[in-house]
Amino acid sequence: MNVSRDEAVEALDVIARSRDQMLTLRRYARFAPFLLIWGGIWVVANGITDIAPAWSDRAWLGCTALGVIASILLGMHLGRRSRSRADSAVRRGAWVPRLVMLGLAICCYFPVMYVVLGPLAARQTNAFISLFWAFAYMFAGAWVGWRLFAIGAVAAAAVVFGYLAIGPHYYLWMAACGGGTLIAGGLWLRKI
Amino acid sequence: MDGPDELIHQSTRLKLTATLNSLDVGEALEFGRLKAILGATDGNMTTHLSALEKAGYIDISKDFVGKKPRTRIALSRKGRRAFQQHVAYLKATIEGP
Repeated sequence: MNVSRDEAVEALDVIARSRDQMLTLRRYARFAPFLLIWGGIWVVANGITDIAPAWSDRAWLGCTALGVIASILLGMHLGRRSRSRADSAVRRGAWVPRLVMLGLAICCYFPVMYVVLGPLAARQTNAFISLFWAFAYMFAGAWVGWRLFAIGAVAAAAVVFGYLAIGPHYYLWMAACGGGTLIAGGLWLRKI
Repeated sequence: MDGPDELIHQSTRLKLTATLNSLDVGEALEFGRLKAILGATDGNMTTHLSALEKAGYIDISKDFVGKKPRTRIALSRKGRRAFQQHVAYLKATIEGP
């Protein structure tokens, strides 16, 4: 059997595409549980805000704290799994400074934006923070893969539509459609 | 330099081995997932998997998850080596003598 130069080029291209496809699916699988966690938080916290507005602040504070802890634990677990891989180039602890810088940037972003924008109504604050995350998923999707980009776009559209078109039950809309988009997206990312 | 590996070079089997080679050593992929990635039919998959298993290139394990049967496929050490040699051959073909 002889393989021509053109056939060899084509075969190596098939191999590269298969590898890229598998890497994208792996990245999706890593991202999926984060979407499921935060989708659940959107459902619970927005749901409580709609049903019992007096509990809104406590619900968001508690749910966000839970989400941050769950995300850090999940990130550490995924980091350990990556390091245990024979072909992994991930250095021990290489992600820690990145996560610290990312956390610092996010913690500073919202207070600074509030200073610039001035006092916001509760509904505006909710839409502002929700849109930040929806667009963050779109930015991440540009690197991770189109499915994540699409999930972020649908979530952003849900926020904007809810903010502009849904009346007093905006939070219920955000629980069902915003949180629902993230949960459905998380399940979609787990599928090949 | 060895010649091409005829078993691996066939287009579906090339995609199949390349996909399995992207996994960690010893890591397996479920039959259904592999089929979806390759866009192959059950019959097509069975034929190609049998050929690769016969050559000792893949390990097929079957178990149950609850009451559901599960078939998992992994590239064997021999298969990984054969794939890497085939890739080396392809690269050498492009680079020329």
